Amino acid sequence: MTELSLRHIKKSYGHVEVLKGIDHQVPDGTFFTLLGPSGCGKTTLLRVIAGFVTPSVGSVHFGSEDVTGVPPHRREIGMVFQDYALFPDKSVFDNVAYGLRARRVPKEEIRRSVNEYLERVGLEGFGERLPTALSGGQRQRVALARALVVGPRVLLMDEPLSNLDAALRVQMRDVIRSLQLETKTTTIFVTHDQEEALAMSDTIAVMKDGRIDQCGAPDDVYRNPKTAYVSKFVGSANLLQAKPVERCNDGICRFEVEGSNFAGRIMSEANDGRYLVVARPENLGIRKAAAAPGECELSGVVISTQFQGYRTSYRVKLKSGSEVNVETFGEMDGSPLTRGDEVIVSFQDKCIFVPEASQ
Amino acid sequence: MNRFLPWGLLSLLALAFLLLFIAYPIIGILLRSFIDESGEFSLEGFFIFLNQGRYLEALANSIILGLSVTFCCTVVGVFLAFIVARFDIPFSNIVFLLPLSVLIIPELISAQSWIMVFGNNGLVTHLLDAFGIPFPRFYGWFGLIYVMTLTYYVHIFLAALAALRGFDHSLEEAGQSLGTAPLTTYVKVVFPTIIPAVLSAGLIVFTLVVGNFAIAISLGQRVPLLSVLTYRSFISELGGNPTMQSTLATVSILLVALVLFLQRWYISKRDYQMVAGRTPPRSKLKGWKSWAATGVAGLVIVLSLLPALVVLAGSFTVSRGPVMYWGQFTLDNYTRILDFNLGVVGNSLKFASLATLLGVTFATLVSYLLVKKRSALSSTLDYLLLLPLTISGTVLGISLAQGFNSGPMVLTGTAALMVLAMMLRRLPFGVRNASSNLHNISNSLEEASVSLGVPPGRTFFNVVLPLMAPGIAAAAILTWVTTVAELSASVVIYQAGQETLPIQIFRLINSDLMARASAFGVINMVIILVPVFIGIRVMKVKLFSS
Repeated sequence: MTELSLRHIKKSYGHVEVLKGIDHQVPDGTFFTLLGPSGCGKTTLLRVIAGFVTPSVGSVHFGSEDVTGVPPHRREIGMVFQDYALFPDKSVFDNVAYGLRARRVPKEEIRRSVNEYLERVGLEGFGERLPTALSGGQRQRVALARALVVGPRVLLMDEPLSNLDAALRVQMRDVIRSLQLETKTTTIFVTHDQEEALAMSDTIAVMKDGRIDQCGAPDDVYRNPKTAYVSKFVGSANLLQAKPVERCNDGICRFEVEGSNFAGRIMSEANDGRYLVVARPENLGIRKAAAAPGECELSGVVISTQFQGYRTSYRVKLKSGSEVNVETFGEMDGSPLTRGDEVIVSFQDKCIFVPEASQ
Repeated sequence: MNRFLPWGLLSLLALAFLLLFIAYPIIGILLRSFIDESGEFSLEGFFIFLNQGRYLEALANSIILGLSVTFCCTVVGVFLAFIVARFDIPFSNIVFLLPLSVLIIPELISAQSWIMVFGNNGLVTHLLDAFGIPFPRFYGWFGLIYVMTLTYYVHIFLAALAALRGFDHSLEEAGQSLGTAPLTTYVKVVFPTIIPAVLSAGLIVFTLVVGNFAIAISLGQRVPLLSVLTYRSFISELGGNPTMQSTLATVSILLVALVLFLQRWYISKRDYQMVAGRTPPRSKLKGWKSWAATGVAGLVIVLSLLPALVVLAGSFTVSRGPVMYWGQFTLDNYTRILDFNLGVVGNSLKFASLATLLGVTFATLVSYLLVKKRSALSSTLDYLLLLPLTISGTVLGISLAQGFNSGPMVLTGTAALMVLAMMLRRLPFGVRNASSNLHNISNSLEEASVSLGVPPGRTFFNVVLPLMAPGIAAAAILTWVTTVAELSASVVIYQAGQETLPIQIFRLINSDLMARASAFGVINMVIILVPVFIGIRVMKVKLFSS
């Protein structure tokens, strides 16, 4: 059981700085997700933790031990790869036993552990098969068993689900998460899929251009994005320009958005005083326009509707010309809205404000 | 940190090895061609080359021979490939064994067997003589072109077959739908698309012909050729002019380098990729066409395999001097070997085993370094590995013998140099064979192993080596086959007591003792055949996958 700390990690290739100073602590037993688009440095950071990449500056610590200079094979990690990386000439059993044999575990114990882990990932009886005789989901289960059976100090997963089809991916989330909880293994999970990150993690670190933009519990990152980038990358968000009008003491500020008065919390300070209001589609209310819009409300016209069973999405064109998405759940009061209806979009009191420029 | 060692160190060692044993001797021979006997810079060698008629004549002859053989090979190879790819003929399975026949029958034995058939004391020569029909002299252009065509057409056959197989049939149908007749379609649509592959293989054939020693010296007494002249200039070293050896070697290096450069340039220029389409169906031929196609294919197959049979029969035939008493059988030729020449067999086995072991180990390591652990040294390694391709065996032998006959490292005359020469000739192909599977092995496989606690070196043996095994096995078999049959480099550097089977066969052919040469030939072929057979049948090695 290991706490992982990353201290001031930088990595450059030539003049390109891929990691620009990562400082972070991952508490023991946490499922920690690095979320970001390709090229943000998340895989490089994972490989720094694994030891395949040596950081230009900074250090990696497993518990109290500084492992920066320790080669990967002595770091006692487990790693799961996007392409499974199963040894194609070895049976499922031999694949899972590989790390135990390297540790010179007695034969009888190897047999017991391997079978236990194959059972845990739901592959009992598959030991004799070759990896080629398995489906993608089964292969990734073997890879997971292989990485966990050695009791790694840290489990590292590099986009392990992205080669699987959608249904399997959802199923494998459960498999991975419940195994992680059972074994209480500190896990670093790299993905570009925000849904995956939200569904599985204890903590999400949203990465951008070699930095961690925001870090927190999934619901916190989702509900309280500190930047426009995070609000867009995690979940979907409507962003409208907001002009600060009055600053209050209790953290609530007043803004003017498209001619209406808004109030809400500022998530982080803008250096240049320019803000955006962030509103999740499901947090917006929508109703037929009967009167002029009030506080925190804007009027517009429905330009498209999509009925999706338990929810309905609307696209609304505001007076200013910008568009917002609104989602409603269950049945609407009164008659359903259709294209061309004049509506009032209500931002209610859940608005939050983030700096317009990325800092 | 640990990233540079041990792979960086190994790269450095491999580089040092290639620099010492390939670059240094070759650069040495190039430089010596500009130095006269007193050690001063001079163009004397090239002056003699240009002014003494026989050198220029030899150069011209080599080029003419190269062009003629390449042309004949193209005709035979493309025609055979066309028949096999497109028509259902009775023994098409045997056709696919043809590449093997070239491996199993060394070119020296091929030349010998055809001398036994068409030479001065040949079977057919005597037969025609009995009917009063004079047979044209086999030694010279006719024999050279005939035997070399039968030896090298397989290269073009394989290239053309691969191109025809990959040819998208719908293109052909597109041609026909536009109103061209099937045969015209072939000429206009199909042949142009296989030209790049055929031409590229043709240039390889040209370099092989120009560098050829075994056939050239056995059949070319009347036709001065560059490779033979280079060899003779070295053999008569005591009286000869060392500058002249270097000059001749330099000329042939430049000639082959030029052709290889042309080939690369051509490939890079016209690399139109064929979309892998439907493999065209093989149709059944009817009537005379069927007979003609079957007959031609059959003839080529028979002529390709005949040398083995002739030599086998010859090895059991009674002979007195050059005269063969066909029909009278004896085991004498073999018992003589048992009594007097077991050492030759031993030499061949010893040198070839060492060369194969060394060559395959080196090829495995270097291919791994080049594919998986690329560093600043890699591209230099790449280029150095191309060097042995640009030099014929004779030139390699001379450059090694000259390069290591003095100075801190004297190897000339040692068995080590024999092994080295045999190993170096095959090295570029060995690396190619060994790396054939390597590109498909994902890097994450090694990282998975390392992450599970196995250090990089042991990971290589646990994970990578088993997956490379098929390629390594192919490299081992092909290296064995070529080193056991190697003549042109070893004949230049061997000393008394270091004779190998091909050298012994070569000497016996020179003395016109064909029956005894045949017995050695059969032993040579058996030594080649056994590993090939085991590899293909038992270990299921794909020799021609890359």
